[in-house]
Amino acid sequence: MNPETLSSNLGALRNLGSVFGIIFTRGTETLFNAAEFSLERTQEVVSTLDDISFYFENEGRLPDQLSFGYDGANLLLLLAEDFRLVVLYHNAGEVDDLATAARAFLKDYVASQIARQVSLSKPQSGRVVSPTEPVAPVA
Amino acid sequence: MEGEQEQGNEMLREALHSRTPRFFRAGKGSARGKTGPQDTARFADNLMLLQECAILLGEKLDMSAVSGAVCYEGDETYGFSFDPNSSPHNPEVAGAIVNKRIPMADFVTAVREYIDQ
Repeated sequence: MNPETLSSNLGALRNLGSVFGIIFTRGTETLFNAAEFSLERTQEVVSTLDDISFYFENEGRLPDQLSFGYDGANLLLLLAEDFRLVVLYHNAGEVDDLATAARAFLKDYVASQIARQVSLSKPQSGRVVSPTEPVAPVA
Repeated sequence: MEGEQEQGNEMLREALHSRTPRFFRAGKGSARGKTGPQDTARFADNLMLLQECAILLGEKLDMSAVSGAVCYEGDETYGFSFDPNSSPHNPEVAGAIVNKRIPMADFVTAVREYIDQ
Protein backbone atom coordinates (compact mmCIF):
# COMPACT_ATOMS: atom_id res chain seq x y z
CA MET A 1 0.00 0.00 0.00
CA ASN A 2 1.60 3.29 -1.06
CA PRO A 3 1.44 6.49 1.06
CA GLU A 4 -1.32 7.98 -1.14
CA THR A 5 -3.55 4.92 -0.68
CA LEU A 6 -2.82 4.93 3.05
CA SER A 7 -3.86 8.59 3.33
CA SER A 8 -6.89 8.06 1.14
CA ASN A 9 -8.14 5.00 3.09
CA LEU A 10 -7.57 6.53 6.51
CA GLY A 11 -8.95 9.87 5.30
CA ALA A 12 -12.16 8.03 4.38
CA LEU A 13 -12.26 6.45 7.84
CA ARG A 14 -11.72 9.90 9.36
CA ASN A 15 -14.88 11.09 7.57
CA LEU A 16 -17.10 8.26 8.84
CA GLY A 17 -19.85 8.99 11.38
CA SER A 18 -18.74 10.99 14.39
CA VAL A 19 -15.01 10.26 14.01
CA PHE A 20 -12.84 13.21 15.05
CA GLY A 21 -9.37 11.71 15.02
CA ILE A 22 -7.22 8.89 13.63
CA ILE A 23 -3.70 7.92 14.64
CA PHE A 24 -1.92 5.03 12.92
CA THR A 25 1.45 3.85 14.18
CA ARG A 26 4.02 1.13 13.84
CA GLY A 27 5.93 0.83 17.08
CA THR A 28 6.94 4.37 17.96
CA GLU A 29 6.69 5.58 14.35
CA THR A 30 3.62 7.62 13.40
CA LEU A 31 2.44 6.52 9.94
CA PHE A 32 -0.69 8.69 9.76
CA ASN A 33 -2.09 11.38 12.01
CA ALA A 34 -5.45 13.03 11.51
CA ALA A 35 -6.10 14.11 15.08
CA GLU A 36 -6.25 17.72 16.11
CA PHE A 37 -3.50 17.44 18.67
CA SER A 38 -0.09 19.04 18.82
CA LEU A 39 2.83 17.03 17.52
CA GLU A 40 4.09 16.72 21.08
CA ARG A 41 0.82 15.29 22.36
CA THR A 42 0.56 12.87 19.44
CA GLN A 43 4.06 11.64 20.28
CA GLU A 44 2.95 11.11 23.88
CA VAL A 45 -0.04 9.07 22.70
CA VAL A 46 2.16 7.00 20.37
CA SER A 47 4.62 6.37 23.18
CA THR A 48 1.79 5.36 25.54
CA LEU A 49 0.42 2.94 22.91
CA ASP A 50 3.86 1.41 22.67
CA ASP A 51 4.06 1.05 26.47
CA ILE A 52 0.62 -0.57 26.55
CA SER A 53 1.54 -3.03 23.79
CA PHE A 54 4.79 -3.86 25.59
CA TYR A 55 2.84 -4.47 28.78
CA PHE A 56 0.39 -6.80 26.98
CA GLU A 57 3.29 -8.71 25.50
CA ASN A 58 5.02 -9.08 28.87
CA GLU A 59 1.82 -10.28 30.48
CA GLY A 60 1.25 -12.80 27.69
CA ARG A 61 -1.97 -11.03 26.70
CA LEU A 62 -3.04 -10.73 23.08
CA PRO A 63 -6.00 -8.35 22.80
CA ASP A 64 -6.63 -7.16 19.26
CA GLN A 65 -9.49 -4.71 19.72
CA LEU A 66 -10.29 -2.43 22.65
CA SER A 67 -12.82 0.33 23.07
CA PHE A 68 -12.83 2.87 25.87
CA GLY A 69 -15.67 5.18 26.82
CA TYR A 70 -14.99 8.60 28.31
CA ASP A 71 -17.16 11.54 29.19
CA GLY A 72 -18.22 12.80 25.74
CA ALA A 73 -15.78 10.80 23.62
CA ASN A 74 -14.73 7.26 22.81
CA LEU A 75 -11.54 5.61 21.70
CA LEU A 76 -11.24 2.48 19.59
CA LEU A 77 -7.85 0.78 19.47
CA LEU A 78 -6.98 -1.97 17.01
CA LEU A 79 -3.76 -3.93 17.33
CA ALA A 80 -2.16 -6.13 14.68
CA GLU A 81 1.47 -7.19 15.04
CA ASP A 82 3.30 -3.91 15.81
CA PHE A 83 0.67 -1.76 14.08
CA ARG A 84 -1.76 0.28 16.19
CA LEU A 85 -4.76 2.13 14.88
CA VAL A 86 -6.60 4.60 17.11
CA VAL A 87 -10.02 5.94 16.16
CA LEU A 88 -11.50 8.74 18.25
CA TYR A 89 -15.25 9.29 17.92
CA HIS A 90 -18.22 10.75 19.74
CA ASN A 91 -21.14 8.37 19.19
CA ALA A 92 -20.62 5.17 21.21
CA GLY A 93 -23.20 3.31 19.11
CA GLU A 94 -20.90 3.48 16.08
CA VAL A 95 -18.21 1.28 17.65
CA ASP A 96 -18.89 -1.92 15.69
CA ASP A 97 -19.26 -0.25 12.28
CA LEU A 98 -16.09 1.75 12.82
CA ALA A 99 -14.25 -1.35 14.01
CA THR A 100 -15.32 -3.25 10.87
CA ALA A 101 -14.04 -0.48 8.61
CA ALA A 102 -10.83 0.00 10.60
CA ARG A 103 -10.17 -3.74 10.74
CA ALA A 104 -10.60 -4.05 6.95
CA PHE A 105 -8.03 -1.28 6.43
CA LEU A 106 -5.59 -2.80 8.92
CA LYS A 107 -5.89 -6.28 7.40
CA ASP A 108 -5.14 -4.90 3.91
CA TYR A 109 -2.27 -2.81 5.20
CA VAL A 110 -0.60 -5.64 7.11
CA ALA A 111 -1.05 -7.98 4.11
CA SER A 112 0.51 -5.39 1.77
CA GLN A 113 3.46 -4.96 4.15
CA ILE A 114 4.02 -8.72 4.25
CA ALA A 115 3.85 -8.90 0.44
CA ARG A 116 6.34 -6.02 0.22
CA GLN A 117 8.76 -7.71 2.61
CA VAL A 118 8.52 -10.98 0.66
CA SER A 119 9.21 -9.22 -2.65
CA LEU A 120 12.18 -7.35 -1.14
CA SER A 121 13.68 -10.54 0.25
CA LYS A 122 13.49 -12.42 -3.10
CA PRO A 123 16.95 -13.21 -4.53
CA GLN A 124 17.92 -10.80 -7.30
CA SER A 125 19.50 -13.58 -9.42
CA GLY A 126 16.05 -14.72 -10.53
CA ARG A 127 15.13 -11.41 -12.19
CA VAL A 128 14.42 -11.24 -15.86
CA VAL A 129 17.06 -9.38 -17.86
CA SER A 130 15.88 -7.31 -20.76
CA PRO A 131 17.43 -8.38 -24.09
CA THR A 132 18.69 -4.80 -24.52
CA GLU A 133 20.17 -4.59 -21.01
CA PRO A 134 23.96 -5.08 -21.03
CA VAL A 135 25.04 -8.16 -19.10
CA ALA A 136 27.89 -7.67 -16.64
CA PRO A 137 31.01 -9.49 -17.66
CA VAL A 138 31.73 -12.66 -15.70
CA ALA A 139 35.00 -12.43 -13.79
CA MET B 1 -18.03 -22.73 51.39
CA GLU B 2 -17.30 -25.86 49.36
CA GLY B 3 -20.95 -25.98 48.30
CA GLU B 4 -20.73 -22.38 47.09
CA GLN B 5 -17.62 -23.18 45.05
CA GLU B 6 -19.29 -26.23 43.49
CA GLN B 7 -22.31 -24.14 42.61
CA GLY B 8 -19.96 -21.52 41.09
CA ASN B 9 -18.21 -24.15 39.02
CA GLU B 10 -21.53 -25.50 37.80
CA MET B 11 -22.66 -21.99 36.79
CA LEU B 12 -19.33 -21.43 35.01
CA ARG B 13 -19.63 -24.72 33.11
CA GLU B 14 -23.17 -23.83 32.09
CA ALA B 15 -22.19 -20.31 30.95
CA LEU B 16 -19.23 -21.63 28.96
CA HIS B 17 -21.37 -24.29 27.37
CA SER B 18 -24.14 -21.87 26.39
CA ARG B 19 -21.62 -19.10 25.61
CA THR B 20 -23.57 -16.59 27.66
CA PRO B 21 -22.02 -13.69 29.62
CA ARG B 22 -20.84 -14.24 33.18
CA PHE B 23 -21.53 -11.03 35.08
CA PHE B 24 -19.54 -9.54 37.94
CA ARG B 25 -19.49 -6.52 40.21
CA ALA B 26 -16.50 -4.77 41.70
CA GLY B 27 -15.98 -1.99 44.20
CA LYS B 28 -13.98 -1.13 47.30
CA GLY B 29 -11.07 -3.19 46.02
CA SER B 30 -12.88 -6.49 45.59
CA ALA B 31 -14.80 -8.29 42.87
CA ARG B 32 -17.86 -10.49 43.20
CA GLY B 33 -19.32 -13.04 40.84
CA LYS B 34 -21.34 -16.22 40.80
CA THR B 35 -19.06 -18.37 38.68
CA GLY B 36 -16.42 -19.21 41.27
CA PRO B 37 -13.32 -17.54 42.69
CA GLN B 38 -11.03 -18.30 39.75
CA ASP B 39 -13.41 -16.81 37.21
CA THR B 40 -13.96 -13.78 39.45
CA ALA B 41 -10.18 -13.33 39.78
CA ARG B 42 -9.92 -13.40 35.97
CA PHE B 43 -12.53 -10.67 35.77
CA ALA B 44 -10.60 -8.63 38.36
CA ASP B 45 -7.40 -9.00 36.31
CA ASN B 46 -9.18 -7.92 33.13
CA LEU B 47 -10.77 -4.99 34.94
CA MET B 48 -7.41 -3.73 36.23
CA LEU B 49 -5.84 -4.11 32.79
CA LEU B 50 -8.61 -2.16 31.06
CA GLN B 51 -8.84 0.54 33.72
CA GLU B 52 -5.09 1.09 33.59
CA CYS B 53 -5.10 1.40 29.78
CA ALA B 54 -8.15 3.67 29.80
CA ILE B 55 -6.58 6.03 32.34
CA LEU B 56 -3.19 6.12 30.59
CA LEU B 57 -4.70 6.91 27.19
CA GLY B 58 -7.31 9.28 28.61
CA GLU B 59 -4.61 11.33 30.37
CA LYS B 60 -2.67 11.79 27.15
CA LEU B 61 -5.78 12.74 25.17
CA ASP B 62 -7.33 14.98 27.83
CA MET B 63 -10.30 12.66 28.03
CA SER B 64 -11.29 12.10 31.63
CA ALA B 65 -14.01 10.21 33.48
CA VAL B 66 -13.75 6.69 32.09
CA SER B 67 -17.24 5.25 31.70
CA GLY B 68 -16.27 1.77 30.59
CA ALA B 69 -14.24 -0.43 28.28
CA VAL B 70 -14.64 -3.53 26.13
CA CYS B 71 -11.98 -5.83 24.74
CA TYR B 72 -11.63 -8.72 22.31
CA GLU B 73 -8.92 -11.20 23.16
CA GLY B 74 -8.81 -14.60 21.48
CA ASP B 75 -12.39 -15.80 21.30
CA GLU B 76 -13.45 -13.81 24.38
CA THR B 77 -15.18 -10.50 24.89
CA TYR B 78 -14.77 -8.85 28.28
CA GLY B 79 -15.23 -5.42 29.75
CA PHE B 80 -16.89 -3.22 32.32
CA SER B 81 -19.10 -0.17 32.82
CA PHE B 82 -19.28 2.12 35.81
CA ASP B 83 -22.55 1.81 37.67
CA PRO B 84 -24.12 5.29 37.44
CA ASN B 85 -26.32 4.45 40.45
CA SER B 86 -23.35 3.87 42.75
CA SER B 87 -21.98 6.52 45.09
CA PRO B 88 -19.32 8.78 43.55
CA HIS B 89 -17.34 8.27 46.79
CA ASN B 90 -17.49 4.49 46.43
CA PRO B 91 -17.91 3.87 42.71
CA GLU B 92 -18.93 0.39 41.66
CA VAL B 93 -18.44 -1.24 38.30
CA ALA B 94 -20.25 -4.10 36.66
CA GLY B 95 -18.74 -6.17 33.92
CA ALA B 96 -18.75 -9.47 32.14
CA ILE B 97 -16.78 -12.11 30.30
CA VAL B 98 -18.26 -14.14 27.47
CA ASN B 99 -16.47 -16.85 25.52
CA LYS B 100 -17.36 -15.52 22.08
CA ARG B 101 -16.90 -12.30 20.18
CA ILE B 102 -20.10 -10.35 20.36
CA PRO B 103 -20.67 -6.85 18.96
CA MET B 104 -19.18 -4.38 21.44
CA ALA B 105 -22.37 -2.30 21.50
CA ASP B 106 -24.38 -5.43 22.44
CA PHE B 107 -21.87 -6.21 25.18
CA VAL B 108 -22.28 -2.73 26.67
CA THR B 109 -26.08 -3.06 26.49
CA ALA B 110 -25.94 -6.43 28.29
CA VAL B 111 -23.79 -4.99 31.10
CA ARG B 112 -26.09 -1.96 31.45
CA GLU B 113 -29.13 -4.25 31.65
CA TYR B 114 -27.34 -6.23 34.35
CA ILE B 115 -26.69 -2.97 36.24
CA ASP B 116 -30.36 -2.00 35.99
CA GLN B 117 -31.60 -5.36 37.27
